[in-house]
Amino acid sequence: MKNLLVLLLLLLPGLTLAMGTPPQKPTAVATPGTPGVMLRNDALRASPGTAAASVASLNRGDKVRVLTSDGGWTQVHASGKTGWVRILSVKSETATASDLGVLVETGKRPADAGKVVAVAGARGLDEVALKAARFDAEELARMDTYVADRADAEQFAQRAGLASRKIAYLPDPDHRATSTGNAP
Amino acid sequence: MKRTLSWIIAALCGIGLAQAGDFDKFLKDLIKEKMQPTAPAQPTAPTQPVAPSAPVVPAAQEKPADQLLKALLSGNASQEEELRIGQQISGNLLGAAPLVRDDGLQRYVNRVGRWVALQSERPDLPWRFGVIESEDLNAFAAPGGYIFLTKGLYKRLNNEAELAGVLGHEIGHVIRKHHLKLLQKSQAIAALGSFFGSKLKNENEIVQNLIGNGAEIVARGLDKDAEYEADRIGLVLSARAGYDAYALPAVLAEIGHVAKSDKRVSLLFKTHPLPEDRLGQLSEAVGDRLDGLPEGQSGVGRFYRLR
Repeated sequence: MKNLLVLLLLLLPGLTLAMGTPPQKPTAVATPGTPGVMLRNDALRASPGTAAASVASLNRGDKVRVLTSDGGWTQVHASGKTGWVRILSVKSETATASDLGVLVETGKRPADAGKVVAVAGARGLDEVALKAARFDAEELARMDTYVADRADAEQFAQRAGLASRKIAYLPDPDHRATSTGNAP
Repeated sequence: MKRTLSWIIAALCGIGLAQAGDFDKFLKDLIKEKMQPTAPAQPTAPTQPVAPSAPVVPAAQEKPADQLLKALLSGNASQEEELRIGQQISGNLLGAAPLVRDDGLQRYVNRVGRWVALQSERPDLPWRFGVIESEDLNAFAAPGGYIFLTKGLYKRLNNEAELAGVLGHEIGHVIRKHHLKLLQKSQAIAALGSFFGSKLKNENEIVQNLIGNGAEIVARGLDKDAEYEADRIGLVLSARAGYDAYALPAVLAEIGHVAKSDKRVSLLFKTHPLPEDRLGQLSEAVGDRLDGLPEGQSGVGRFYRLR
């Protein structure tokens, strides 16, 4: 009787362990990146850039895994394929990511605080600092000395091969009364 | 019991709302009434105000300040008046965070900024741009064409197109007069104070009285719609200037990666919708509208890097 009890006690942790481990393995392997969802139909491209070949086409609402980003492009993994879509075509489901961020941040805080102190004169631009701010005429005058006039700016653009393009303002997606709406 | 309580609360809210509206109207009417006599000449003696110590002709002394008030209240501030308010806010902001001592950087930012502003419907405002000494991640605009970004935000940028997008967002606030509208909404009380409280002697005092303490107006925050509108304008202006249209979204995504508890973004997140919401709004606004647009420049090569 006593032996049986001991045996049971010995077995129980083993049993729970055995039951707990199997499902963990596959989930860890099958989830590269973070969850995301397609906001619109878009081509999945081999590399970031509109000139790159299309590997697949994704549809609005498709679930994807967000891997990384490069400027205005986001790398995603969807239905066995990896490629790039426009940054505005996919939405990161950041809930878990930001929770993680908070955890990491709290862990980092002491080092961060030290850093802030070390930078001479650099303090947070918070409401208190802004409210207490006193007019600085000298700095305002200094700002004037850096002004670029129209000709200066145009030459600067030309040197980089930047040319003006005609692009209409974007409408308010919520149809709120704003600038671009052509009222009745 | 619970029911009656919720009724009372609902009723109270209703009263509060009604009163707020009426009060606002009351203030405006009152100020209008108070200001009317200053417009025409005052030949009749009885209206003479309690004269301050100085023996000057009151009409001549008070005119600019009154005009400024009136212009603001009616929403018809001239470019000069707009600039006057912008100067006061900017001078105060610079008092809290001075310009980064790097002539090359400041000139570079002014050239990029002016080029982007030239794509707007107010190309000839006296646009001024500055990078200010703060490790926070933030950017500010003041009426009349004053635009600032913090060194902390600048250091997060990867190329000129991203800088153009950030400046474009702030330019959007200026050209749509978002801060002027905010002032207009909140200034009725300040204006009243100037009439019934201590008599303000000059324009400087009037302007400072309007904008509140120091540069707190930039910490007050605009409404969400104004921020979303500025995002749409910033994206379009930088794309018009020849830059990558998706650079501003890239900056928003980058800011979204900063922990929300990080102190360097606390004011930014307090005064702006969260980056993921801004990206969602931009995505909806853009839709397929830019699909045919040739890719713009990123300008990595000549981006001015801070050491």
